[in-house]
Amino acid sequence: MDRKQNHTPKSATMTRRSALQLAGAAALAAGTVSTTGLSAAAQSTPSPAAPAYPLVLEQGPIKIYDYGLTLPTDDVTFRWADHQGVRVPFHEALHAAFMEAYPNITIEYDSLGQDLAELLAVGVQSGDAHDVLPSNAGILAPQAVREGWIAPLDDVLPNFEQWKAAYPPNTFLPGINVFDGKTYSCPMYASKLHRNLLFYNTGLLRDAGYDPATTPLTWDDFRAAARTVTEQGNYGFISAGGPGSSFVVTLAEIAGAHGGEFNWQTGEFNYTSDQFLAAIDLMMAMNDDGSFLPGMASMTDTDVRARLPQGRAAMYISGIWNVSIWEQAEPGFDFGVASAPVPTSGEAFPLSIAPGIGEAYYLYAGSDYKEIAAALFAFVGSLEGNVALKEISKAVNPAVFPEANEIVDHSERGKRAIEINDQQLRLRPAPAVRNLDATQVEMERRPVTPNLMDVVNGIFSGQVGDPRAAMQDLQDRSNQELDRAIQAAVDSGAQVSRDDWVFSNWDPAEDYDLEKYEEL
Amino acid sequence: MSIGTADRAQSLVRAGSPPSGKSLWQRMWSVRWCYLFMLPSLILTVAFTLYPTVMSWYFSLLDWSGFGSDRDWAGFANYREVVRDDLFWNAYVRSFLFTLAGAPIKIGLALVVALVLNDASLRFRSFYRTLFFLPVVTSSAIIGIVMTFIFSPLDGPVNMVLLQLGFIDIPVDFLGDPDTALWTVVAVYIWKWFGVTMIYWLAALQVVPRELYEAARIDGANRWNMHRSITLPLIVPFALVIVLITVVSALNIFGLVQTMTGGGPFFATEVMELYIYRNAFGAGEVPRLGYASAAAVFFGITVFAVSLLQGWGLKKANTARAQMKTQ
Amino acid sequence: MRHRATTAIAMTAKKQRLVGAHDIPSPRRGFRWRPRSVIPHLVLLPICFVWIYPFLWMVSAGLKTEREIYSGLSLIPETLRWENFQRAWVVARIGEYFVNTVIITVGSIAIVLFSVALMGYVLGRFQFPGKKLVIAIFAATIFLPEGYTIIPIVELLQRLHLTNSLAGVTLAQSGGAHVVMVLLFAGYFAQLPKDLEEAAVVDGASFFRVFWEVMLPLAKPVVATTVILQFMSSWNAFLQPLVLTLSRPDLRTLAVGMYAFRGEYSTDWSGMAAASAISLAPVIITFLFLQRYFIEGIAGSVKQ
Repeated sequence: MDRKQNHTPKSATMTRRSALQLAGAAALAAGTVSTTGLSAAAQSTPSPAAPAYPLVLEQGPIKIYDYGLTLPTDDVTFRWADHQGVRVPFHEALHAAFMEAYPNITIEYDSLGQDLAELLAVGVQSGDAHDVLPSNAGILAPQAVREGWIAPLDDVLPNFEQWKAAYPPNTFLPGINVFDGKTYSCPMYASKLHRNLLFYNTGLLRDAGYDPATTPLTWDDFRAAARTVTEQGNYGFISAGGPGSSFVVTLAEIAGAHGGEFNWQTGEFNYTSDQFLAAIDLMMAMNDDGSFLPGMASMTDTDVRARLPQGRAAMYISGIWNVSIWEQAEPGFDFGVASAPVPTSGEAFPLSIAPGIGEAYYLYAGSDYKEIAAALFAFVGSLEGNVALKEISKAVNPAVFPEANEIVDHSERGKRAIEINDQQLRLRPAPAVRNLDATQVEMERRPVTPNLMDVVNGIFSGQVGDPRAAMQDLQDRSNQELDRAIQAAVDSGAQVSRDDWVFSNWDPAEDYDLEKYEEL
Repeated sequence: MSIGTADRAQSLVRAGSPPSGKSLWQRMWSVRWCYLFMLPSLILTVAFTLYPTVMSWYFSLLDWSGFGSDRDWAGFANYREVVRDDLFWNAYVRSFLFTLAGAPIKIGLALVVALVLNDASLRFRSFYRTLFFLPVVTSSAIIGIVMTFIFSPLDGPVNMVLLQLGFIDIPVDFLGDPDTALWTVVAVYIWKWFGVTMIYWLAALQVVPRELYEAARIDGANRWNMHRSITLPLIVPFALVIVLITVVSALNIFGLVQTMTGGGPFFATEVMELYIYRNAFGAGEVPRLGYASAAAVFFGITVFAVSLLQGWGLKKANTARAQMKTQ
Repeated sequence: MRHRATTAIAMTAKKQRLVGAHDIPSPRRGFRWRPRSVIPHLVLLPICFVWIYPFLWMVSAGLKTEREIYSGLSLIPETLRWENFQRAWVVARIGEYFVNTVIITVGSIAIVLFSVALMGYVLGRFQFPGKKLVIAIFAATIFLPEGYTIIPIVELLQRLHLTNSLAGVTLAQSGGAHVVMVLLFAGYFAQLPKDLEEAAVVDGASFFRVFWEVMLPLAKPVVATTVILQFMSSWNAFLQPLVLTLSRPDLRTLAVGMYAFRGEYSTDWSGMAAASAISLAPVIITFLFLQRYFIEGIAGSVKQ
């Protein structure tokens, strides 16, 4: 209690930055600002309608407000499960501040590696889970809602409507994180997170005579660069477990296989498209050149990430998160980030990304302390919270509020990565948004084995002979499985058809937002 | 066949219950304490082994992801799908290949090392036994990463040695090449679990009276003849048990393969447990517990058949030995 | 299957009793270094060095930087980074998890030892209706593929209100048929002289007393074997303790704690290696001290 009093005066002496953030948050909360950046947000004055919560405690960018919730007064333990990664220090700081503000509440933050997080679903179904769960931990939202595993936030969060409205558009979508009008997730990271950037060892590529910093490599240059690096004693390209799907899908989609694996305009798989087959040809040509690092087949991405700074391989296609990992762990590693190669110069098509997949949190329906979750979500799911996330993590991973991404002064390559992220990624349509019954198909849908990654790696290792036939086979099996899943959903009462996978008005160059669904 | 029938009959007599001439109930009542004292073990077996197993048979008849209440009765559909899946048979064959290659070498090598480490004249035997046992307790995750260095085609020591000895001209990607990956994993498996088999052999060798060796030595027998004529016949019954345990554990190999290759390249090292795991818990994909259970049950039945065959062999061997003794 | 195997051990054990010459001291007590006795060591030492190289690497990796770990197989760290061990202690919560692991391990050893020894005693020395059924149940259990029985076990403990408790994990760890152990006890007890049970076994109390005061103390080697086998399995158990205490991080075990080093994007190998070294030390020490009994226990011999 004493602590609270000590801290209250502190809130009066706000730093310039926190004032700025507060203004931004308040303005956003009132829904007056679009996604035009912090400067715009800072200029607008706080709307009187915005709830002004009394500040309980402030620690750096972390702020604990009194939201007027009735929090438990006896000693309780609240458990928050999460993935690992750059977010961890943010949550630790938030929880430390919260526990200082409310000493009777202990928050146990449980950050699990991917292998363990997949098991969270087992706990949820056996009726015993953490109070907060990360969204991508093997728990399917439509199923979790139907089974009553996760709770809607509408009645839990303080001033829920304003909290929700503050988010950028297309964050909450029916069939993804909104069901029957109720909202089930507290998004923290953006859906648009680039998973297929080209990372390169600046020195090795410079020695080979290439610099993709400003203009992406063409396929020919990409192959030639890899070959030259290899001739000079190192290896041109590295990828965990074989080239895998990222190599082929990324190159094919940038070359014009819209939607990557699935064309949302025609509703057909792209596996037999010219772009996919050409990307496979390129892969095999580079393999003939000897440009892939030997032994990469038995490596994981973790291994690759740790080995790349040693300079034995020049290029690697992976996600935007690598920027901050290397900058923090390997400050001496001189690497660059660029768009994946394009077939010929200037011709780069956007990459599609599913909506509503940004990392978010669910509230476990069996939680005894939903008010604690509400108090934490209210901050995590706000511009202020996003700013704190970015400031504490110092990572480029795009937060859900675009303004927050401009707060942290990233390195040049970090800025470049964000620039490519924003330039290249476009939200694709999702059948579940259009027709809720499509979620039943998703739950019926079984993995196709061998999948694209298996087939590509099989072609690479020589275990799959005829690429064209293998891709045709993959196309056929994928079609059969989608049709089978649709039929199974129909048999159990869903009103859904393959037409729900066809979006005639899809333009790969534009975000497929809610208005587009209405045009259909 | 029962255990030491004569002994048991004696015990029963002493317990005041002649084995015949009474009703089943009377006979059961007279040995009621046997049932009581078996209870803890039976409860643990039934609750944590039999019940989950029977449940998995039931799951194998469902179309169920393993999560949620959406459990549809599927009859034998899962089984029909299992036997039609090429990848199932791929894993099936690999499991048996793995076992056929791994078990005999492991059992044989472990016997040789056990014979050496059983020699009373060898000093520091306990020390060596511990060293050979160390891989058993080394963590699988760490082994996974060490082995990628050891078998690396870039600068791994195995390739270095083979290149220098002239066995190969270019480095081999042991874990990445479909022709070598399975055998590399088999080699690591033998190394990792060697210690357990060695301990079993050492135990078996304790039954060979030391003075038999002394006598043979006085007779001028060399080491090989000594083992062939004295050791091997005495440890045959053990051998069959060790083979059984080793074969069953090899057929169920999982963790080591998962950390080393994850089943790749292109399913070249996907043994049965990996296939089951991929379908039951496969990361990032919709799991199919019902289907995975069907694959597991089907595989389990065939393993059972193999074991029955082995047991039959064991019985034959015992009978043969018994006949030899009576002659 | 099971009882045939038991027979094999029992028979062999009996034969050995017939021969029974285990009190003859080793002829080589007065050992002197002679060239001939050095040769085996010259062969064995290099083999053993290669053999345990990965283990040594693991220990040395606990003292290296991340970079050094990925730079290859050298065993000598540039500088000894003891802070890895310190970090391992904190990140893997070794202090807390050590206690949990000890509780679960000791608890499950006690339960398993008690239940398995009793079962082995009954199977090894008595004849009763239904014996074949019991043996058949045990035989069947050995063939079950692992890995997919976890959900029924979780559901079962859920119904017993034992999830998220150390008691539940201990029970689950004790669960199972423990065929090899039952087999060892049965074979061992079967070969003990008949006149050991002099007092007529007429009631439960004396039945149990004979077992507890006469039979079990004689079975020390098998007890040691059971302790080692169960120790290794409980100490290293991963999936069950994790799933059964999923929402209670404070109840996890060392093997689960190891996973704290596997991040989403990177693995802290030096931390994991250090933590592995710490958590494996008790296993190795236990083995070192009990291995003589371990071997004798499996053999079913009674060397004193």
